Amino acid sequence: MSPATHVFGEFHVGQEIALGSRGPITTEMMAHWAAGSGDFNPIHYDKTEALRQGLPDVIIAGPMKFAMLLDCLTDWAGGQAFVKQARTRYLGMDTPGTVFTFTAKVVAVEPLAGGGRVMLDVTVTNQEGKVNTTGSATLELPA
Amino acid sequence: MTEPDPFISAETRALVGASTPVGDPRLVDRNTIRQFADAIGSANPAFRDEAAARAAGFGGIAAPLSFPIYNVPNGIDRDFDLKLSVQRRVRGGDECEFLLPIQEGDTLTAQTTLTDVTHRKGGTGDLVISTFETRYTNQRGEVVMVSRATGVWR
Repeated sequence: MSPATHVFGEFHVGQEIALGSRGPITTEMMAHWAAGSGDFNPIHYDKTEALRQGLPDVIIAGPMKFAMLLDCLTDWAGGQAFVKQARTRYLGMDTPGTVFTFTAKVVAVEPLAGGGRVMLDVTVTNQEGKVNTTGSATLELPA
Repeated sequence: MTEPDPFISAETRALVGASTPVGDPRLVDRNTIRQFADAIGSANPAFRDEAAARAAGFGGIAAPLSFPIYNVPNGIDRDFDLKLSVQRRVRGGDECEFLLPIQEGDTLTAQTTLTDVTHRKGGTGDLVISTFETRYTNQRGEVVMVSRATGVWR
């Protein structure tokens, strides 16, 4: 169990949180994603085809970015926390070499017996400072 | 009650609420969990080490939260015969509710429902937004995760 569990009482509305980062994303990682997901749309692994379709390079699949956000949330929150709900919106394309930095802002807190819920707005920023993905999450934290 | 949008045919509108058949069952196995962890560069020991996963309260190697989207045969909006005049599609977003933990040895099935098809005027022309929901059920008949995703067609 991760020792770095956060507790509900630490958080207040407006607070900013660094959730971590993932990357640089390699084409090897993207190949693992395509193989396990069965998403063989060539724009995710075949650069020749991606360029032919007018794209700048192969494109990191949206659910792969979603999975990285969830992994950051899980690592950050620790073993006594539960991620109850999360979402992402894909506003732009990301290509190999991208480093994603995940940050959050607390938008609501809701006490429950034994702890409480923390609602987060999430921003995913690449190494050039561009936000191609936004999201949100609800976590249950212990007291 | 809004007026029917002529951009979405009655035939397409009638598909809202339709579901795919329940997909083939998929056994959650540790090699595929490792492949997922490698794909996203996760260092979480619960995805690779059974002792670590058990210490975290799992009954075996833990599956990452969105593992069902990744590996369980599921439907998407393309599986419904939408008959749209716009053909290029990108995924607009993902949303999940995580209801129960998933671990190696579980057997999951998915069923997908088309929940909405709407027309929007975008900055670059007409867009169609399709929304679909997938419910993932384990071998005990428990719903472990509900996923909602959108497709953006232009």
